[in-house]
Amino acid sequence: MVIELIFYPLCTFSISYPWKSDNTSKDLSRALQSFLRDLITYFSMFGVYPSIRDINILSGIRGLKITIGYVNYLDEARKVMILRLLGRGSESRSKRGDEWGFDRFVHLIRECALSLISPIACDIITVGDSRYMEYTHPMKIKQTHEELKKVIKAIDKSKYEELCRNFPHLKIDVSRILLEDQEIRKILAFSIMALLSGAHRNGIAIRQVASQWILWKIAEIVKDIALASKRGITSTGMDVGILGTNELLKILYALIADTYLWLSHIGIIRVKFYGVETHYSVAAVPLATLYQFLKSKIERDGKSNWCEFSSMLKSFLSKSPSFMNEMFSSLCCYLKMSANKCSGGCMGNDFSMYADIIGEIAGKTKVFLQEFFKEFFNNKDFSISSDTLLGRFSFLTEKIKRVFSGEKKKFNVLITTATEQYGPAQAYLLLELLNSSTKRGSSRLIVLYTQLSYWNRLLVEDALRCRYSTEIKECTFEYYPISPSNPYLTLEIVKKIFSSLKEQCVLMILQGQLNIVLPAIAACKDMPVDRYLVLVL
Amino acid sequence: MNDEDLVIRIIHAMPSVNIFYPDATFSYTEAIREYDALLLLKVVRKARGRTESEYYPILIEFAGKLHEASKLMVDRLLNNPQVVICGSQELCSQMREMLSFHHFILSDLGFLEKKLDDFAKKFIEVYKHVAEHLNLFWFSLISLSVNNFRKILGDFARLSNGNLYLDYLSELGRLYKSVLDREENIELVLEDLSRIVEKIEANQKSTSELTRKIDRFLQKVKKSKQKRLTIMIYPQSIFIPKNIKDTSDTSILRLKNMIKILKMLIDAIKNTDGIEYVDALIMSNRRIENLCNILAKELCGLIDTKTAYIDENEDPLVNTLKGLITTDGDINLLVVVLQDYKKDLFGKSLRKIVEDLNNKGKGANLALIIIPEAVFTTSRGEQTKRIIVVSGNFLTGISARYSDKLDIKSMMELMYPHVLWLDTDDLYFITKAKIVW
Repeated sequence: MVIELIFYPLCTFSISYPWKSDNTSKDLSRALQSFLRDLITYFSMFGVYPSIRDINILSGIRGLKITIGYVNYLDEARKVMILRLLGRGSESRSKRGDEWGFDRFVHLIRECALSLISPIACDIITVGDSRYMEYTHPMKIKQTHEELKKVIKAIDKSKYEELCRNFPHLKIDVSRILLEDQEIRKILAFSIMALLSGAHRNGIAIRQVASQWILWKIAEIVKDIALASKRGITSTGMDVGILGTNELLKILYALIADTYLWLSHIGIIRVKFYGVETHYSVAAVPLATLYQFLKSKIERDGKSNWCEFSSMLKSFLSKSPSFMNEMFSSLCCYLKMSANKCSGGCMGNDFSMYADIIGEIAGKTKVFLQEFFKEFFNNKDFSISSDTLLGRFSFLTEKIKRVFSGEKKKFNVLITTATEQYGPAQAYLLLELLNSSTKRGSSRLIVLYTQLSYWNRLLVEDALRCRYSTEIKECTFEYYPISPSNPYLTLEIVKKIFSSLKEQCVLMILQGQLNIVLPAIAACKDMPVDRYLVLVL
Repeated sequence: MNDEDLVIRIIHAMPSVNIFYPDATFSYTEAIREYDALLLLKVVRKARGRTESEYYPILIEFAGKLHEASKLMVDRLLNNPQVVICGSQELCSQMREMLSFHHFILSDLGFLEKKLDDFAKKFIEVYKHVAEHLNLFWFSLISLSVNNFRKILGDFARLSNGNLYLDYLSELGRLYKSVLDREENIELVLEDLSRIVEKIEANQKSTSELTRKIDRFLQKVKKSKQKRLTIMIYPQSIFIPKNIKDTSDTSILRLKNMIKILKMLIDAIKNTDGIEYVDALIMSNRRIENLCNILAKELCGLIDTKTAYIDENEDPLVNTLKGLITTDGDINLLVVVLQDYKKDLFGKSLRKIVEDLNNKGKGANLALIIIPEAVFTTSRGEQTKRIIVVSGNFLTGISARYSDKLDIKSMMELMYPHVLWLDTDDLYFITKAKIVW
């Protein structure tokens, strides 16, 4: 088949529901609109924040399918997003208002793909209906004109369906879980943005944040199931939870594939990726290792870059069932073990459970990746020091658990530095730590961020607001911009924070470069020794 | 509109507005776009006895040449901010023919340009200290939706603490927040803001605290028996393969920059009165072994250089530091971190050294500096009108400007506030047990 040579899909997200005027349909419609709002917010990197009223232009939407894949463009795998929006009726009979909404939405996404601010870099292909050669509807004529004039990529509906059917790729159906959980909508929107991000340093950080967030959500679902079964409760949301875990694992797998396979492929074609863009990024070290092996393989086999990439992707996607099985069996093992285990202690049950699950999945992922690449390169020497996506988060969780398992002091204030990998998962982890320390008493989470991590700060606040809008009233969140170019200001800012504390005990968890870490530590100098603890990661 | 009066007033101005990629902060990258000024306009409308005010931020581009009109193309990819192009009458009329009618072009605003040039001189000191905060502020103004911009402004407003630069940022945040929320205190905030700028201007010499610390350190070196200063170098963690041939490789270029700044530092120490002997100790580890070997080779021609190997799995520095610890007399140690180091190894090795010195009963005189690879700082304004620029290559450019007989104190003052100087007390504190590395 000719098309196989030029296109390879990675995953398809599908959300759809039948159009009825009942309450469930209305709820689904609202859930979908809220998901689309998040999608636009993240695609524009917080540059656009449409209100629900604005997004009402898409009220006719009853579903969408997003296929993310790669096309062969002069031997380079270029990323594409194929977008199919489903209206009230079939495309040809959809209402005029829906068409306007769809059109504007697609233009907005195209705008983001061009913007210098947005991290996404992909071609956008829409799915149309080419059954009719002639149109009289002004909207259709406009669309056709734009398609032809600007060569805006569009694919015929039947061709799209054939692609989805014939190529083995990850099919992620999120219709049901999207309704259940507002946070999953955000995770989904952010993950799609991560998958569409270009090959740049921030793109790696976005993928890391998305993967960590997914991992946290999985850990939360499993923890809730474990706790419910311990108490002998059969939760009604349990099956949805399991379904959610299944779909979330698929998204995680897609992110792993995109990060390891696509980024290393891009590194081969554009060597500046390692030499200039990610030279400062520790997260790119495993990718640089992979790059060396891939480069040797291409030289040895004499295949084109695209051929090597597509065969690696095909092979990786074929392993997805074994990845899912492995993860599921390890989560089931954990559930069995936790049913018999009575953990507790000063860390708090919840925190330990999160840490165990995170460690388990991150560890298994690294082993899975090593095994896959050993087999693919037919080289037993292949080894990565840590996993780009989950390695840092797992290390962080493990170290916090180790340090605090014997700690009896009650910390009411937690100060942390937001690096580019700081995301909702890290914030939840720190909150759990605070909660286990204060036994859910009043507390403050203070985040120091730089101009580099402005989006991390906004994302975390967005996620926290969605998650804890009613739950945590006792915890306050504060954010302070700091500057690595002027460490003296960081010193002053942390001193100011300390001066605002009364008798509270402070825990500092510091990450990032020494120009940020050392002034923050030096600011503790005047604090009584029994009122602080600093953990440098 | 006979019965209406419209008055437009500039209530706040900021010269040289750079838009940097926030995600390429430490990559020594150029700005995406520089606007000559950001003006906050107050539009007062008097109608039927009522006065209403609105506020608008606009960006100014003082065009000197016709080709500058093409900068507007970049704006299209930057959220399309409102830009007013100003220039001479002739240039403006030429531009008018080139651009579409809706573009805002104003001629004969030379007085504004002159005023902003004077203003820029006032702002140099402010910009030098808060360059990165201002980058964040401008980027947020242009690229974030209002609700998110408001959040960043709220963070700025929280910074006030009596430090003039932080107070400036705080008032700036308050000003724009008040404008967004249409508060009535805008005039008061403006007064506070200009008062702070004046104070900063009057207080140009802001390095006094640093100077005191360096003087104290140098006094102790002078008083010590051998007048010897040991530089303990933590190089930036760059992996350099043993058989590397390509000398244009980024890692090699960065290593060259490290060597350059270290040589400058050694020269500055040698030029400092009272220091008679300088030696170096390079802190190596598994990942940067080759880099440290090259570094040692380069430095040994200048000063006595040793290399200490820190192993993650073994008790570090037990043997390698013998040379340092057994020295007779007092220890004067300047710890130099180049950009960053593996934090656990850094913390543990530093702790070990301080403990060892304590155990030996030696009255150690310690200082630590971190020299960042790239910072946002102010330009001299000779080649460019841009106030904020990126300075890379471990600030070698800043020191090189004044290469004649720089001593360590003047070198540090030149690099202020980008190079952090911590003294003996700070270092003793950093190596305490309450900090887990």
